[in-house]
Amino acid sequence: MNTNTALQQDRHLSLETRPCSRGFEEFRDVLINDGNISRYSAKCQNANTNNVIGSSIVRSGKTFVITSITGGIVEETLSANNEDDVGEEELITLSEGSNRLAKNASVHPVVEIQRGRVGGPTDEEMITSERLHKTLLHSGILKKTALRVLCGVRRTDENGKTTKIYSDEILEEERKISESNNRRWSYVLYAKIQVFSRNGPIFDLCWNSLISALKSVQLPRAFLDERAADLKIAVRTRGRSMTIRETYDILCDPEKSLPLQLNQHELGYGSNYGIIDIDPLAQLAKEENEMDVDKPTSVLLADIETEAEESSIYSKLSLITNKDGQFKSATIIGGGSKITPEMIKRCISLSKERSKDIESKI
Amino acid sequence: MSVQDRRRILGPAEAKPLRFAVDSETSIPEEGRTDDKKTGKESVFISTDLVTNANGSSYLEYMDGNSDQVLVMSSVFGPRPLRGSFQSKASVSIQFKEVTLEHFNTGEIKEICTFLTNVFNAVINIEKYPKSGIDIFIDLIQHSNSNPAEEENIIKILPTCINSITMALVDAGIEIIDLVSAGSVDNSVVAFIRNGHEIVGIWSDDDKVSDISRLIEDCRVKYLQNKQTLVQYLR
Amino acid sequence: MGLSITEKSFLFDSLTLDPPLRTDGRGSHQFRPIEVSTDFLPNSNGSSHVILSGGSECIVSVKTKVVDHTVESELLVTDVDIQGHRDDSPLVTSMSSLISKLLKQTIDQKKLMLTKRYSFKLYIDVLVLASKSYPVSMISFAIFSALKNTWLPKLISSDDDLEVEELPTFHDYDMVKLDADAPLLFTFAIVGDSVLVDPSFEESLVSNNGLLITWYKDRATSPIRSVGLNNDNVKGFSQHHLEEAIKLIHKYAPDVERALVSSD
Repeated sequence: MNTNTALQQDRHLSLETRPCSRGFEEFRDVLINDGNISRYSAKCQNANTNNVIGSSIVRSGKTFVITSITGGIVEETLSANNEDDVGEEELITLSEGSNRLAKNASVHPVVEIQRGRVGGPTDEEMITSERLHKTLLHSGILKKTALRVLCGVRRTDENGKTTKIYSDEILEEERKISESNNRRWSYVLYAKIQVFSRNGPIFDLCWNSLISALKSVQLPRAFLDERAADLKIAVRTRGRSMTIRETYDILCDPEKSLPLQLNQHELGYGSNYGIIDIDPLAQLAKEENEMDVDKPTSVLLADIETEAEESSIYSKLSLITNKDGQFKSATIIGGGSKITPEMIKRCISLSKERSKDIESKI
Repeated sequence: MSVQDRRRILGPAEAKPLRFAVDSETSIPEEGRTDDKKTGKESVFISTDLVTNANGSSYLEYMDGNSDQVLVMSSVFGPRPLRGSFQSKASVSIQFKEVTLEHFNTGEIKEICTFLTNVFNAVINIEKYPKSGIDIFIDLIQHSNSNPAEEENIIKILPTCINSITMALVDAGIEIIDLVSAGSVDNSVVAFIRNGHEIVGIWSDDDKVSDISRLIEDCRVKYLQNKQTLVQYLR
Repeated sequence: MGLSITEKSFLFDSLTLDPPLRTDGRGSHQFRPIEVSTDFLPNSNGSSHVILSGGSECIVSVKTKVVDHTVESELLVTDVDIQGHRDDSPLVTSMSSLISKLLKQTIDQKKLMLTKRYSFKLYIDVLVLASKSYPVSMISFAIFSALKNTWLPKLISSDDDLEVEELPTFHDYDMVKLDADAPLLFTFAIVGDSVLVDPSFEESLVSNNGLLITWYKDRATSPIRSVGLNNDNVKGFSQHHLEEAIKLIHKYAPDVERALVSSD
């Protein structure tokens, strides 16, 4: 940024306005909806071809972020002698204390920022994706157990009518049928996060978008074909040659789905702050008596926007917290301007307010 | 050749994407949809200047009589300087991307891009912008298809893409010789300028077509409607 | 290698004369001489080699394999490779997408079925060795003659294997000719008011637009596309240009097809 705009900005700031005409501690207005993108959206028209299972559109000022979540299924590698599931569960509980992260799961985000160029991902895109992935993993919002596939069985009877049976929906005597299948699957979630009209730091926007998309995720019920499932019951064929294939094709139920279980009390929302010194020379003369001699000339700006602010502010804070002030992530970069404890306190209380506001909008 | 992509977080390699079972007995017609079908009205929503860091942008929502939606956003970057050897005319590039769903394969996407580039090479006054590149990005936000039997079809989205690029070019203030718009009939799209006297692009995948003049005539009617809509918005 | 502005203008002027004066003296409906040789690859089921005057050259090989079509539904795989262009370049990807989509539509997959479970799977590999003009026409000619000269092994086992598990067995020497009709693609250049078939490289450079029209089962059919033969001279065209092109196709395509069929 050249000195001219820097001076201009300093002048602006000394008049207590920002280039974007917001107040120092004023945030951009946020609009959040699900964009009617997911197959489970209320007004979805293309449920039969849509494989997006959760979505959100977050608009903050002119910037908007579209997140769509798709899923996959991966077979878990189980230990060889996995006869007794209870023992396995016990083992997991034992190791919980030492390895807390092992219980947490995350999504696989790919962030793309529209910038009018083609080519591989930029540094910012890679860093943001990585940070979203890591933050979600460490936050404990998503647990591995929430992604477990409760696999059902599809049965085809003599008349060619198909029924699907899920272990948690069926009667006790039928349960053992589905449990005889000793393989285990997990859902894998992918998030495609697209940022348009980027006009400032995007991490907190992407985070908020990702969280609100995750809240809308419905995991489809999955089932195996009875014919393919390795069951020890008579397979009813209709005079057809049935080959049991090597690969187990796991299919998803086009209608039934369960909401993704998130750790509600761990949910937090992001916001960012910047601290900038106002060059005393740029300050317009004020009345002598109003001027406090000891008053610091640095100011706290909430929700950094515009290139001018982004390039001149080196001291930045990025916080993810819920409305009670429980932190999930806090990044403080001191550069240039001094960050005082008072400012951090102020940021914390602002971020609580912001978090409350965002939560009310989802 | 399997080179691991280290720049993106891709998740476990052995994971398989979700596959939804096709139920033979799924009840397709929902009540709301049949109601919409009766009205059979096409509607378009146009907005410009959505993407602030592009030179021009547009957002089109097209709803056809069967309440199928096509949501397309176009952004124009440029004219901006081109590196390399001297070019006496602007070089136009068009990139197509699906924001949410991924229905089309890369080959089809490249085909759309080449086709659209050819259309807009004829329409943008490229002599006006020497040594410049004009990069157009189309983001298909959503494309819904209420008829499950039909495959995802490029033809359905092409007219909306063309209209959307035209609006974005207008928003960017790039000189074009006329408002280009397109009309489609069945499996064919024809893009026109000059009140339908000149064709700038034709894409027909309809193997039942017998009379080409008839087809063009039908597309021209749709073109005039579409163009009227664009003109109304700009007025 | 491009042309200078003066050369282009000269060429444009002569091509827009009535009748057009083409650099190689052809009429507007005339093709460049095509040299086709088939069955020259010993370990392919079918092959063809097409040479156009002006140095464009293309090789097509058709290979086959027996697959269980209840598992593998894709029975046609087409791969296009153009020398001097990257595999992910717009020209190569859009051409290979166009051609593979077209072949899937036109080749009757039922004819590839051997038994109720097994089918032939065809691999059609196209290699364009040298090409300056838009190569799609040449590729379609090469695929056409390769498929017309494809021989598949003769099945000697039973063709009903639903009840009995049986792997198909083939005759040691006898082959059966593949019965497949491939479409022919024609390119036209629109220069001013003239419509020229099979434009050469220089003609492509000055053309205002290009048309791609398919000839299949004795009629002009889809895909019909407008294609850019260059980037800086593109203009719109009118309906009668398109009608003119279709008229030319109806008149001359049967001759082209006959010439290609008789080439084996």
